[in-house]
Amino acid sequence: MRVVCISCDSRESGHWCSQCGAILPTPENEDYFSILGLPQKINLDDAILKERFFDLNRAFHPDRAAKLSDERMREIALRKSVLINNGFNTLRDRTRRIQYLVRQELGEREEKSGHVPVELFELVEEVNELMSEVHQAKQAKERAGNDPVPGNGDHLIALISRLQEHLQGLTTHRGAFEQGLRSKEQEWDALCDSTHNFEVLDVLARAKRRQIVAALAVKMDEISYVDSLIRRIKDTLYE
Amino acid sequence: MINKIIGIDLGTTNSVVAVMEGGKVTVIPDDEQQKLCPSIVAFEEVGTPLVGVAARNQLVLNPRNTIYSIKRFMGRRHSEVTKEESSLSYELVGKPEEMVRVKSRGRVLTPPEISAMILRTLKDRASRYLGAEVGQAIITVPAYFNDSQRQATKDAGGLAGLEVVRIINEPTAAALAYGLDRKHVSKIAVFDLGGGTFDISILELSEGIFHVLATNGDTHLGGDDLDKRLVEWVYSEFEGENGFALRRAPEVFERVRQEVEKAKCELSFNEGVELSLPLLDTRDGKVSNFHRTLSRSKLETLSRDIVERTINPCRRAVDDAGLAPSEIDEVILVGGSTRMPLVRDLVKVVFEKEPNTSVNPDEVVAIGAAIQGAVLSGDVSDVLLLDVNPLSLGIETYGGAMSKLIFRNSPIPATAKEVFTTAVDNQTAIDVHILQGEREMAADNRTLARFALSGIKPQPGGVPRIEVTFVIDVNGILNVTAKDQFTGKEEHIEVKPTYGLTEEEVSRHVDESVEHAFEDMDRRMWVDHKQEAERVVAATIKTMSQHGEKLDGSMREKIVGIVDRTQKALAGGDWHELKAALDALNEATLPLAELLVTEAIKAEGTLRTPGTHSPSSQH
Repeated sequence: MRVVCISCDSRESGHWCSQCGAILPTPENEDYFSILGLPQKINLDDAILKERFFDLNRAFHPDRAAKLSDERMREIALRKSVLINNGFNTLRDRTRRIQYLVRQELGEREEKSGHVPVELFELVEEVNELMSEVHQAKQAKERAGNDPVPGNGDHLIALISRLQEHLQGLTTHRGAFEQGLRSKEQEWDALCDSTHNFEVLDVLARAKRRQIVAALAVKMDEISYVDSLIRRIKDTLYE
Repeated sequence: MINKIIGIDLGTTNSVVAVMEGGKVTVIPDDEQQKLCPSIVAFEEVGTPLVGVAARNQLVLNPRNTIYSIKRFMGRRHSEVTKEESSLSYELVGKPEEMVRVKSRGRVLTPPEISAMILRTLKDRASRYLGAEVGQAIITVPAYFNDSQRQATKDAGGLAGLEVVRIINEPTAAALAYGLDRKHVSKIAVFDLGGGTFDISILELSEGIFHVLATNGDTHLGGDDLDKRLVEWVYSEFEGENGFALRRAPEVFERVRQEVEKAKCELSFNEGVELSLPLLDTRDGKVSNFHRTLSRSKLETLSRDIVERTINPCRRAVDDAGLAPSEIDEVILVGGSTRMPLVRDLVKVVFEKEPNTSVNPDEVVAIGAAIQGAVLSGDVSDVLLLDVNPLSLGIETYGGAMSKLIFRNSPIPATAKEVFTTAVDNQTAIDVHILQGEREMAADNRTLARFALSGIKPQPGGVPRIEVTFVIDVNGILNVTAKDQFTGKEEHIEVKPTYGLTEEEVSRHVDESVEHAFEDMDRRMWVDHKQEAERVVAATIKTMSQHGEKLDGSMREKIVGIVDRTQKALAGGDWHELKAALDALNEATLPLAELLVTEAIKAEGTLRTPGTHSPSSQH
C-alpha cells in the first residue's frame, strides 16, 4: 500500500521514503504481518518475528524518535511503535495469531465456543449426565459422613472411572481437532506461498482464503469447546 | 540549565541520585559523602522542613511530624491505606474516598508534595555537583505500580521543579545498570525487594536491547513489614517478661522500630545482635529497660512467611515469560532487603541457582536511571529498553464483566480501540468504566477511572459510534481520547482515579485470578447468556401474543415449551443448560422471525434490528 511522504510528497510504500529517507506514515488498516515485514502465514519463524520486533523498535521506539527534530515525524514514529508492539504481541502467540487472521478475513464474529461439535453430541450428553451423577454421589458420601451406605463407595468409584475414560476419549478427540487445525493451517500457508502478493489476488483466491479461514475458525471453536469441557470434567473429578 | 538528565531512585526507605558523564555513572553523594538520602521529611516548629539524614536523626524526638515511607501513600485513597495507618506515627487525613494526605503541625500536605521535598534535595545535590542547574530527570517506580501511583510520582517531579522526561521501572533500570557491557544474548531475572515494595522482572538481553518479557510483584511487601513484625515481637516479649506493657505511643514505637531495623540489617552479617532499649515508657507511667539477644534464626522464624510471599509472583513471572526457572541465566538482587541470607536462600531455591550479588543493591536502580537519562539525551545510543505494562487494562461491559483490551506484559507503548454506542433512543451519554487487573468480573478489579461520554446527538439507539482510544504510553501511564466517528470530533479525556482497592487486594489480584479462573468463567458465561436469554424470551412472548395465532398449532406448542424451558433455566444457575435452552429457542423461533419479516413488509413499516453490542451504557 502506498502513502504520501510528508517530507517530499512522493507516493511510496514501506517504512521509509526511498526518495528522501523520511519516515513514512503507516497506512490505515495496514495489517500486523506487513508492518513487521512478514508473510501472512500461521507457521511463523519466532526468531525472525523477534528480530523484526527488535530492528523496528531500534528505528521507531520513542526513545530513538526523541532525537527527531520534526514533531510530525515523532508522531509518525510513535504510531508505528505502537503498531509494532501491538503486532508483535498479537503474532507471537499462535492462538492470538489465528484469531487475528480470522478477524481480518471475516470481521468480528460471534465466538461459537459454546456450540457442541457434531462428532461429540452423544459423548457430551453422557459426560454431562455422568458429571451430575458424580456430583450427587459425592454429596451423598459427604452427607453420610462416618456412616456410609454400603455399596455407595463402589458406585462412586465406578462413576469416576467411567468419567476418566471419557476424559481420555476427549483428549483423543482434541488431538484429532488439533490435527484438523494443523492441516487447515498448512492449507493456508500453502496458499500464502502460492500467491505472494495479496493486492493482486483475484476473486477466486479471495473466496478460497475466506473458506480456509472459516474452517480455521471452526477448528479453533471446537478446540476451545473441548478445552472447556475437559476443564469442567477435571473440576468435577477433583472438586 | 544543563542538558544532563539525572536518574533518581525515589525509594520507600532511601532515595539516590546519579548522573552519567563521559561514559561513566556517578552516584552523587551529599556534603558528608553519604550516597543514600533517607526518604524522610520532618517539620519543626519553625523553619524549613528537614530532609534526609537530618530528618532521620530527630525522628525519635519528633515522631508525629517526621514523615517516612511516604511512597506507600503515593496515588492512594485514604480507604486504601487503613492498614498501614494503624502503625503510623504521623497523621493521615482525608475522607475515605479522597486521595490520602498527611497532617503535620497544622499543615495538610499530599504525598506528591512530601516526595517533591525529597526530589528537590536530590536535584539540588546534583546541581551543586554538576555546577549548573539540573532541569530534567528520570524517576524510577516499582514495575508493579499502577496508573495512579505513576501519575503521582510524575506529579511529585513537577512540584520539585523537574521535568520528568521518563518514568522507568526499577527492575528494568537495575538490569540496565547490570547488563550494559554484556553483548551476548542472555535471560535474567531481577529480584527487587525494597523497603516497601517487591518486584520481579524477567528480561532478555540482546545486543543492547533490554527486552522485558514479564513482570510481577506486590506493591505492599518489603523491609517495612519485617520491621513491623519485629516491633510487635519486642512489645510482646516485653510484656511476657515484665507482666506489664509498653506504651503504644509514637515516641516509644519509633525508638523500638529504629533499634530493630538496625538489628535486622546487622543480622545479615552476624549470627546474633544485642538489642538494647533502656528507659522505655510503659503503660503504667513508669520506665523500664529491654535488653535481649536477637539471633538470626529468630529473625528468620519471625519473617519467613513475609519473605515467602515473593515466591508466587516469581513463579508467575517466569511462567508468563514462557520460560522454566532453569532457563534463567542469572538472577540479580536489588533492594536492601535482598542482603538477608533468608532471601538469598529462597531466591536460590526458586531459580535453581546462586543469585548474582555483584551489584550494590542500594545504588543499582539510580545508576540504571542515569544510563536511561543518557540514552534520552543522546549521549548513549546503543541501548534500548523495551518494557511492558504490568497489569491488564480493560473496560466494563454489559453485565459487569471486564473485557481486557491490553493484556498484562504487553510491550509499551500500546494502544487499543473500542467503539461505543447507545442502547436506547435519544441517549446522550455513555458511561465508560476503565479497569486494571486480571479478574474476569469488573467488580473484582481496580477502577482506574469512570467517566461519561456526553454530548452525543440524540439519535436512535445503536446509531452513534464513539471510538475510544486507550494508549498506555512509554511511562506506563494511560491516556484516553474519544472520537465521534460521524462528526470526527476528538476529545482528550482526563483520567483521574476515582477509587481503588487496598494494596493487599492489588497484590492478591493475580493470585485470585488464577484460583478463580473457573469460577469466573462460569459467572461470565452465565451473565452473557442470561442477558441474551432474557432478551429472546421477552421478544418471543411479545411476538407470540401478536402473531402467534398465524403459526400452526404444533409449532406454537413447541415454542411455548421451549420458552418455558428457558425460563426454568433462567431460574436455575447452570449456564450450560441455559445455553442449550437458548440455542433451542433460537432455532424454534426461526419461523416466527420469518413471519415477522413478512408481516413487516406487508405493513410497509421499517424493521430495525436492535443493536447487540453496546458496552456499559446507561441514561
